[in-house]
Amino acid sequence: MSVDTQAPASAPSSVAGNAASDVVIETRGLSKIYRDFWGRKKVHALKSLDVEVKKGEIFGLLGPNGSGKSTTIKLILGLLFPSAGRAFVFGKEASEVTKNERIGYLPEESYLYKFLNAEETLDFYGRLFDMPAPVRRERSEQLIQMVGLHRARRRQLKEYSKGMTRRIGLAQALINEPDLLVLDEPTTGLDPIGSREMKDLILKLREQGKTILMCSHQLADVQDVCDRIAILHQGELKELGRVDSLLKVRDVTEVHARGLTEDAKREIAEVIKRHGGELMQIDNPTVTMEELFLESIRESDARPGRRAGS
Amino acid sequence: MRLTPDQLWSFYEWFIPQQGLLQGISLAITLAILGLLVSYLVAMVRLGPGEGFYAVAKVISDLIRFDIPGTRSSRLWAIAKLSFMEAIRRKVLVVFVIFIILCMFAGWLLDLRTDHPAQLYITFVLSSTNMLVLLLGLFISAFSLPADIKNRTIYTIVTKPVRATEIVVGRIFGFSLIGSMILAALGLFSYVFVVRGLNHTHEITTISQDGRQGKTEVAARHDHVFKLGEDGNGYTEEAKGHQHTITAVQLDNKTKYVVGPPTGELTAKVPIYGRLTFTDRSGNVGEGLNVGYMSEYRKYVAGGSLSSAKWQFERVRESDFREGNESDDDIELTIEMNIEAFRSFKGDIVTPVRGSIILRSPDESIESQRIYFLVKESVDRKLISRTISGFRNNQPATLDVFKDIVMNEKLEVIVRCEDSQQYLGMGASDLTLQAKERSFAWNFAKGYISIWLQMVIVICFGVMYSTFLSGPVAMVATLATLSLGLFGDIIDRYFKVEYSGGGPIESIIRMPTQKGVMIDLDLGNVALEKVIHNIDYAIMYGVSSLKGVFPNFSRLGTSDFIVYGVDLFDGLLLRHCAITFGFFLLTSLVGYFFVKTREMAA
Amino acid sequence: MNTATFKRKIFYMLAMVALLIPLFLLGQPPSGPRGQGGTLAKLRERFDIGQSSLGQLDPASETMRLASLGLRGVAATILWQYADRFKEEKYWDLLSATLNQLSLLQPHFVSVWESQAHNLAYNVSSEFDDYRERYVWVKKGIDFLVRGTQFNRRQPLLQYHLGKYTTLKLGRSDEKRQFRELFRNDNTYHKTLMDYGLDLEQPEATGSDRKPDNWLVGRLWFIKSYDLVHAGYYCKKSPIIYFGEAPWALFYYGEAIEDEGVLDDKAMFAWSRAAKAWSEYGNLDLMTTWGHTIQLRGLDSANEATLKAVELFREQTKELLPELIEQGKDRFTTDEYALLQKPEADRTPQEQQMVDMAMQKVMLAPHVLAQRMPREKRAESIQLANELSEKSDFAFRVDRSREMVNYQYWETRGELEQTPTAVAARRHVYEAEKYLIEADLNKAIQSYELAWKNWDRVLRRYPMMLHEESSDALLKSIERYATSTDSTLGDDFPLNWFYRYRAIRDKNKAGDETIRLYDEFVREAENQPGNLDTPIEQ
Repeated sequence: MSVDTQAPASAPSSVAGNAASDVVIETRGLSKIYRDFWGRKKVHALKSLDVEVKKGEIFGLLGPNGSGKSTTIKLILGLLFPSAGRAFVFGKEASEVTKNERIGYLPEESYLYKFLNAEETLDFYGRLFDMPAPVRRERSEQLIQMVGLHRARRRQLKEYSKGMTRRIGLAQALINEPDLLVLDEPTTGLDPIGSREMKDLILKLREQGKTILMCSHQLADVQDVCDRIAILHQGELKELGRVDSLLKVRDVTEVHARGLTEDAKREIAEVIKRHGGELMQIDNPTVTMEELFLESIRESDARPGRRAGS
Repeated sequence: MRLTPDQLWSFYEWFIPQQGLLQGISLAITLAILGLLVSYLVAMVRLGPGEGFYAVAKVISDLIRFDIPGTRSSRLWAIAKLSFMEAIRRKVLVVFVIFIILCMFAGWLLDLRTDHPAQLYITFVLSSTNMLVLLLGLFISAFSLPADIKNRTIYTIVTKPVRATEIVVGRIFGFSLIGSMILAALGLFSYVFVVRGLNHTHEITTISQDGRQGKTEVAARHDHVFKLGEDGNGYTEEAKGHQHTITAVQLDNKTKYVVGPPTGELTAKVPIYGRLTFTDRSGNVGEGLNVGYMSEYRKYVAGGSLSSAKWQFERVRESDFREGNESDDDIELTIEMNIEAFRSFKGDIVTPVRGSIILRSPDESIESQRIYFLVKESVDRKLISRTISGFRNNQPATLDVFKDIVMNEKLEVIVRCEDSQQYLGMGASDLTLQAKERSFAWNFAKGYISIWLQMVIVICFGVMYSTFLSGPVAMVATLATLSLGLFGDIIDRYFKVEYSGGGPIESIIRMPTQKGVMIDLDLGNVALEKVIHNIDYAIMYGVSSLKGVFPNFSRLGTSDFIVYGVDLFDGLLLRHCAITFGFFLLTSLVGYFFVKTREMAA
Repeated sequence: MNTATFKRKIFYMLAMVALLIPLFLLGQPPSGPRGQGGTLAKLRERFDIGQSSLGQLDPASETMRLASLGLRGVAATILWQYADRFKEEKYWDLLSATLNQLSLLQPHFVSVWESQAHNLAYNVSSEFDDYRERYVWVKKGIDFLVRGTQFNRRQPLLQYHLGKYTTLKLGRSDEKRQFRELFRNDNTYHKTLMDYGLDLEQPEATGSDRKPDNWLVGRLWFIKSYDLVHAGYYCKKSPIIYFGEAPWALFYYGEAIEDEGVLDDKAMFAWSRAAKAWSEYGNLDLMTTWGHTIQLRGLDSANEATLKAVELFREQTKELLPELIEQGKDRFTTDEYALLQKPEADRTPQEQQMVDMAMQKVMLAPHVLAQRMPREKRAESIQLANELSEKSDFAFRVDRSREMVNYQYWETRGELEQTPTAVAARRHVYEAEKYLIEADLNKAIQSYELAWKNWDRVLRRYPMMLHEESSDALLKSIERYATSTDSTLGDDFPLNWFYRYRAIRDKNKAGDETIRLYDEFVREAENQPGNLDTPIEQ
């Protein structure tokens, strides 16, 4: 892991001149230093980041607050200019506007014009992609249905709840059927259902062949959806790799079985002992809180009525 | 109304021979070089000399290679519409309410005893709408972009394929659009306000036995005397800048007189201006005399000498003088004069100084006889019938003004003072030929177009400043630009004439030490005084040259034309359009560079 | 870092509160009957300069002041600049509009009203050639001042200027005849003035033709101004001249109507009214710039008092005389010295006069003399000396003040002009000149001759008139008479003496010869005061 702030000035060969390559995002020695008004160094927000995001994968940026995830995203989108190093998207310099044709961006909070309603919002962003009117209308309709805002389509955004705002934000990010989706904290502020839906949607989008870059500090989310993650801390890359391989504990074996008697359990323990293994735990599994919550909501949707205490 | 010679130029004359275009281009080049230099310096400090150069070059090549070709009308329109809606949301329509309140209380602010109520009304509506829409432009334009950056709504914009050009120009368009709509509405309201405010009629109070003359009652703070023709119809005398028609109506065997609405105060005269030259006492071409006034506008001709003033008119066409559907024989040449008398001795106080007019062909072979007049000191209309006696090659002859004296659409008018030792004073726009009047409503509209142009300039500057300053600061900067443009002439005078009391630093010293402007600063230290003086001079010089880059709103104002009922020259309006367009280009370009090079998330 | 921000916020808040406290103390408005308000309110109260007590609260003015926010000074400066430029470039309409705005912006700056009204009525009006146009601008100046008085109810100065403009500007300029005529017939303007609270229908305001006369109307403004001064408001003018304006206006009114041919009882009445007003003015207690309160008619009593004091002091210091004479012996001629030795009772009046003259050579100033007195009498002498100098100083000031306003001249003039003979003299001249214009030479000469006879009587009775400008006009008439009759003025010409005297006077001014002749005329007038009650009409 290089901590060298001197970035290579030339474009990476893997990306340059080959837009069809399966590398969608590439950063090379990407660094950002925030300075105050007088040019004095204030924060070293990102230190020489080298990352590649491949086509079709969900890439998660993970880290506590202030670790540099948002800075990375802003640099990749061209909202910030790197202090050193470079970022490429679809083989183009991050500061180039044309790359935005294929990008959808859901900001941390939905920074939208509160005086527009859902239709106007989508129409406005559609226009920004120079989409012809019929396409714009069709696409808006589709997205409004998809994010479930068809009943609130004529209401001004300032009347929206947080979840609704989030959803219109997502719709706005998808207006151009982007190849790359950049999601900044996609599940913050959402209730567990919303969160789940968001995650399902992300997975569905990946199935459609889209590349997704997201950042979050909610570990569960990342674990649930991301193919690969990078863990940032204090502006430095600490870990990078596939989620499954990163999380796999290689010397522990997990067995899930149903309908075993106490005798059977004892027998299994013995078998383990015989094979020289160590029985760490034999227990009934608990579900996660999320699973419990979602399960009960699903139940209640299927059979309405009070159930607690029965 | 007084005009400067440059106002008379046609658009083409200004654009090419008078180097309007060239000046614009050279200004653009100067600014471009200066801008490049400054941006390179800034980039060098940030990125080092090589990278800095690369960065600047990239922004420029981006502009030409991608951003201008990539600019799409649909995106422009989207941003414009957004700005429009944003302005509405920010309750700009409150301007209407302010204006209507202003009009309701106009009586407080207007001195209705004036001799020219029409001028007063028009000045009032024009200047108040002007101020209101300029302030409006200022407020809506300066806060929009900074607010977007602060709310981070800009994130969702710049992550779309929106060009920096579109962000700037779209805003200018959007704000201009809302401004235009408000201005149009204000204009319509003002028009109705003026027309209705001036409308009045009179009852007839006294009429002579023969029913040929009389007097009206006092209404709207004035009355009229009138003379009637044999049929009982006629005009009242002029009072407060207007007349009324009087028509006799037979009702139950009794003659009733009906006084019509006011006429002649809401006009759009079409004066033809000439080039003025003077001859001195012995008849040689000279400069005209100065009788000792500060103002150089009017020059004087001496009575009882060969001294004269000569106007050379071009584009004198017979058809322009036809009123209604007069027959050719009835067409008259209307001359309007506003000539001043200056007496070297009082003489006969009661009789005004006398002058004379001669119409002459440009080759000087044909001229009319002297047409005498008494100086009126206010606008004096002379109607000259087309058949007139005069001289052809010094032989008495009967002449046709339009066929004989006017040659190749050119005509000379000579003015002399006929009282010896008295003087007549005149400036170029003090004698005009009056062609057929045009519609006041359209002229009024042109006045509003003029205001619209100023508003657009303010919006351009507001948007430009807002690309790199925070909202309030951008507003103050725009306001400073506006005041510099409105009061720039004062600053110029300050700089050129060396006002007593000195510049800013000296004033700051004078104020607490209570030294009036008439006494010397006298700090007891000549060197220090000199330093202060020089710093002041440098500051004033800076401000004065800065002024060259900013729009001169006082020159862009055309309200005088509408107020004094003169058809606003199309050439002048076109020129202002061109200037506005120039500022639009300038500010959009500057705005573009800032948007392009600014970190939106910083 | 958060605590730093917090601390900073707290500091700002404290600073704001700290700044607000003095602001509150200063600016708190007065509330209720007991609440005195802040310092500013108290000061306003003390000096009685609250907006509403200064004069009318005009909504437009308040709006202007509000609209300019704190930039009133800047706005005013810009407007002044504009006004200057408009004046320079002769944009008169714009100038007057700008002045309006300016005065609305600074409605309580008396000098703005003062100087800009002057600008309009004097500077701008004279730029026009047509007298009607001039009249309009004089009126604008007057209007401007009237508006000023409405904002500044306690400024007698503005009313005073109104009087000045209405009287002098309209009544003394070259085009006075036209101005006065226009003013008399300007019914709309009369109405405006009535609206301003000036009653133009009262006899005080109307002239011989029952129409408002500018001199009389102007006088009403003066009187309004006087009323304010009597109510205790200060006017920055010397009272001597200030209070003379109203009676003067009456004199000038008399002159004006006579000039315009009103030469009958009305003229006599006008003059007698003026004379009466003048003597009332003479009885007023007036403060001089030196601090004395005097009466212009009090000269005789002041002189008497001085003489009395001189007498007393002389008596007191009599004993020092021989000593003084001895000390200054060398300076006397022998004759003088001899006379001085003669006891006072034995001297003839002539001798006494010579003694008095001679004593001047050695006499010391009273307080020096008093110092020389023996100790026991010194205090008393010093007091007497002081009294003497006070009295003589007072008399001197009275005399000076009279000179300042030409009191005696106007007193005499008033007395003379109301006599039938004087009016007849003027009437005959007026008629003669009318006949001259009509080319009726015989009648002209006839009238002229009657005029000279009457003038002869008047001038002999009032030799003071020989000098003044009224006799300049007479001189011109005489010359006109001489040229038109084509004759040198023979010995039978009744005013020969006057004509010759003026010739001498014009040559050697106040030379010995002039003075000698004049003294002779005065003596004659005292010895044989003619009767002016019945004019010579044959």
